[in-house]
Amino acid sequence: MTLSLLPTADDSRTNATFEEMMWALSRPGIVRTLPAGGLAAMAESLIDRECSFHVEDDVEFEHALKRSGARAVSLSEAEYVFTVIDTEEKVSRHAVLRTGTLAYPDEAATLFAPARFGFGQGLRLTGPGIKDSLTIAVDGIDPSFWQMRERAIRYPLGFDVYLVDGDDVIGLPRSTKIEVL
Amino acid sequence: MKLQELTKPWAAFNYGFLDESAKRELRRRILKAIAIPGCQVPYASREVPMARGWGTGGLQVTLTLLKPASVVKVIDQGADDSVNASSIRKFFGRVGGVVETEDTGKATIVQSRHRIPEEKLREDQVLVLQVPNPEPLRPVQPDISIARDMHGDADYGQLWLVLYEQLVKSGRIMQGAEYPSLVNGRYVITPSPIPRWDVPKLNQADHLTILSAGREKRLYAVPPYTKVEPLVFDDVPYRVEDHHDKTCYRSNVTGYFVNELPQEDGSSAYELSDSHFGIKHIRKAEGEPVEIGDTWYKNGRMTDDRA
Repeated sequence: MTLSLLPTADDSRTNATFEEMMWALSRPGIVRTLPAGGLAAMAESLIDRECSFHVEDDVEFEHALKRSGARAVSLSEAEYVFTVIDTEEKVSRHAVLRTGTLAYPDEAATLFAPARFGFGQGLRLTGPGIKDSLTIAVDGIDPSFWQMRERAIRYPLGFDVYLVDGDDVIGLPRSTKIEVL
Repeated sequence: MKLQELTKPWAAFNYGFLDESAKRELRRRILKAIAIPGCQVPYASREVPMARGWGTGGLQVTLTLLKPASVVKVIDQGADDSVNASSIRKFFGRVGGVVETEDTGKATIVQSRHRIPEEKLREDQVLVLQVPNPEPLRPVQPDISIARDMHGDADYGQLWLVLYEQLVKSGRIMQGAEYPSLVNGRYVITPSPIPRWDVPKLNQADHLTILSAGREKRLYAVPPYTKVEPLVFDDVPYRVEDHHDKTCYRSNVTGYFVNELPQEDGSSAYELSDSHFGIKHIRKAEGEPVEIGDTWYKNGRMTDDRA
């Protein structure tokens, strides 16, 4: 039997995207760059018919995700949430995100939100994956989000966040402590 | 939505053996495991052409990470050349077209059973540990549902009781491997059956560690720069194996974890457990230009002040 040793273009893309997502979450605050595709590529490498998702205000993207076979559900039930959190009103809606249970803290939401890196609100990060501490600047996220996140996280319960700036990604797992500067 | 859109062209074999839906599931689980260091995350654990208990958990994680540019090292009890390690490495070569290596410094993924290499791993390397029993609470609580509740409550008192009983019975802590360790101040893990010698290598390490138990269908992770503390009593410090003065009879190197080889006359000879580390030393002594990486232990003592 001859083995097909080369991955298809889809395989390579999802594999490389996941690798960046893995390192982004392992090293919170460090910007990782996806090979291409931004949010759509991240969704493609994770989501299929076993998952539930929620998209705020983007009908086209929602249709694209439905094609993966995943279920579109409400914000409070979704495992993968694609949203925008640039106003206080939008942030307050996200207080209902899934944070898991003490027995299964992994059954919590993962939030994907657009942001701009390098300027704006300064954040000091500490926690697993961070050598000493790390300061980043993020724009396009309403400041109330960081308070909302802190209130929602009762470690190990909580949700995990990916901030996405085009193909650039910053991961903020629930284990990261964020000090707003 | 048409059926056509949901299917892919037929292929005899998917790259990396696992099908894409299995990989996506593992990716989702690995991300959650990294987000909650030390938390045991359940996963489906697919069938692989190897019996459960022979490293199928590690195998599935490595297969998920695999790409043709990956350089993979597989160790079994420190040795690259055991049947288990060789056949797993060969399997990665066949189904992934990856580069196989025995050199810790050259690998991008190190899959291991029972050892962490003596040379320090770097920030860009992933250590995948095969785990036979992921549950540190099993000796005190055989019911896994209750054990899960105990993890939720961080109810770990009974683990100290086990250590205390060893101390009272034997005068010292007898736990040789799977030493229970507290990760990020929250979850106690069993760091897979690595010797006590290797546990400090996980603390504030530069590399990412993913531990996966295929038979038990659970995986957990220790991200880089994460606190890993072996459980100890205030007045009884953590003690690694007394290997600091043992010399390898083949490479003549002293101060690393060794295997004891009983001799005919009742005495013992010792050889380095990390086999390729020994080979490097032998080659270097013979004058070959070999680069030996920085080690966690120097002169038989843990020198890294992070640990």
